[in-house]
Amino acid sequence: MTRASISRYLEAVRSGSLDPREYIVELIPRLVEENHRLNLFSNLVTELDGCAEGPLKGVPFTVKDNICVKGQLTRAGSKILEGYRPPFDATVVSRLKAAGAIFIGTTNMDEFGFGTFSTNCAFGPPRNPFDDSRSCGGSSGGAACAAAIMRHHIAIAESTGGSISCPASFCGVVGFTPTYGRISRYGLIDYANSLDKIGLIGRSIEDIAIVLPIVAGRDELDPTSLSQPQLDIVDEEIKSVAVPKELIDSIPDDGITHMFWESMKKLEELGMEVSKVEMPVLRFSIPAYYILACAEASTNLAKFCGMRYGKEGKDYDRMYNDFFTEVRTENFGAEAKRRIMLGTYARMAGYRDQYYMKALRVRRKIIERFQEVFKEYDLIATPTMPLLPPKFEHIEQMSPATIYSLDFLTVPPNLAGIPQVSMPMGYIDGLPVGIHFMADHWQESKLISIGRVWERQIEYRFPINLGWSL
Amino acid sequence: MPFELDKETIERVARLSRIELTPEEKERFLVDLKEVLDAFSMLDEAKSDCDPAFHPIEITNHLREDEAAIRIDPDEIISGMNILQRYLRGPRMQ
Repeated sequence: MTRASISRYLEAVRSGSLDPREYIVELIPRLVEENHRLNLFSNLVTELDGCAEGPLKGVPFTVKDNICVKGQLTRAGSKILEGYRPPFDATVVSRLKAAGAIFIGTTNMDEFGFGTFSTNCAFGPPRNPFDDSRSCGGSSGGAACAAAIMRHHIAIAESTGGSISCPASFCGVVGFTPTYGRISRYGLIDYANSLDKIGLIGRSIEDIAIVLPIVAGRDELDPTSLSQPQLDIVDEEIKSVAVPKELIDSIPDDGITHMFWESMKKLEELGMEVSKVEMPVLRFSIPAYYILACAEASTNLAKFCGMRYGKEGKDYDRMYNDFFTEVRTENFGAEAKRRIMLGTYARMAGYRDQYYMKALRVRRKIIERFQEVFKEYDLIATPTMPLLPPKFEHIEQMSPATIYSLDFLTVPPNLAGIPQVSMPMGYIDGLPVGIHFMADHWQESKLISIGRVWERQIEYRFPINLGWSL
Repeated sequence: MPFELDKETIERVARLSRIELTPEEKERFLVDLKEVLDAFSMLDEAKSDCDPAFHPIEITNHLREDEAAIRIDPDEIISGMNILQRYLRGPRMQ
């Protein structure tokens, strides 16, 4: 059995039948071995931190490489942060440590989160544990891979436009992105401040339900977290589910579409009303998202200039523009340069209204349409991704515009900042396919509720099961 | 509206971005960004008779008490940086 793995682990720790430090010390060499093949970790610990008394005592956790862990190599998948060791923990990390969880390593990702397939990582891409010739998805590819190969563990990940849901779908695990502002982002290396959300990846919705209340909540170090209502996870009856016509009709893979409608039939058999709804404004999601995300990224990444963090400039006798330019040119990858330039272009005088301000107004229209739908329906559902995990050789043939367009299912809820969960829906040719549920702002409880219902309908398959079976 | 993007614009954007491009990169990024911006030109068709949404949720201002506080020891913060006499080293300004 693989469900609710953390709760069984916690019972074993509390009863004294399992020593968590001993467990993790035995686990790490296995992870090192798997890392040689799958390249999911950016950094694995050699010495364990303490194990505080708390509700997560002894639970191993990993952290995406763009979230600060005190004293640990934190590079956001980029050469420009080579050598950077933060002098503080991100709030999400300090809350986990205070609850007794044990940090075991950082996970590989697209540089600064810029990618759909984790192929833009300066340290090589993580590989899909179902088929290592295929992508894990991005940008939290290493985090999803870690959840897919390891029992009794939680991965801390981050999503800007779908970076939790996409890899969760490709790796056959549960990826939970809460409402924008639900989990403090203090200590996150920003990609796009108005879009970034820290979330969780695990092996079951119950694991998410255990960890989410511990990491969520207000934090005075992140002002966007201070406007949130309290998180109450209770079992809610889900009565109705909407399926956006414009999204489902745009999926080219008939196998995925067929599996999705079969899944909707199951929900109907359980008494839920499933209806197709029209949301035509969603077709503008991709351009609006990429303009906003790149505009914000181009300013956020201005701070990486050869001083303070990571790579240092070499020649202090050079003029400052030349000094900054040299470091950035040598150490940013191609996709980072592309997005910085796209964002800079969108903010330039003469183009700002045409691109940036227009995209902000389109975002308002998209949020309003989501809210109209949520007045009538409890949830929205789609497949998570429109394709199976692609092979690396196929990804190499795709243009940037093609890759961006493949995010059309995950970008709309991220642009609107609504919570979402990707869960395994089934398997095609031995590869996992995800289903994506979305709820209105602050309605995480509804997603946990549908997750519990959904997990009774399907048996998950995990390609590798490291860690003791309890 | 069709977007005009040429090599001179790419060079200007790169300069503003503090990135130096090789001739091959200039060619490649010109093609990539043209394709992306062509695809994004559909935004012209979108209605925009509303206020911009700078955040996806309504955010109200919350101010902490105006009290001096040091959360991280400054010496710890600068310990990983290139420092000269407790000042951060940087390039020439002129």
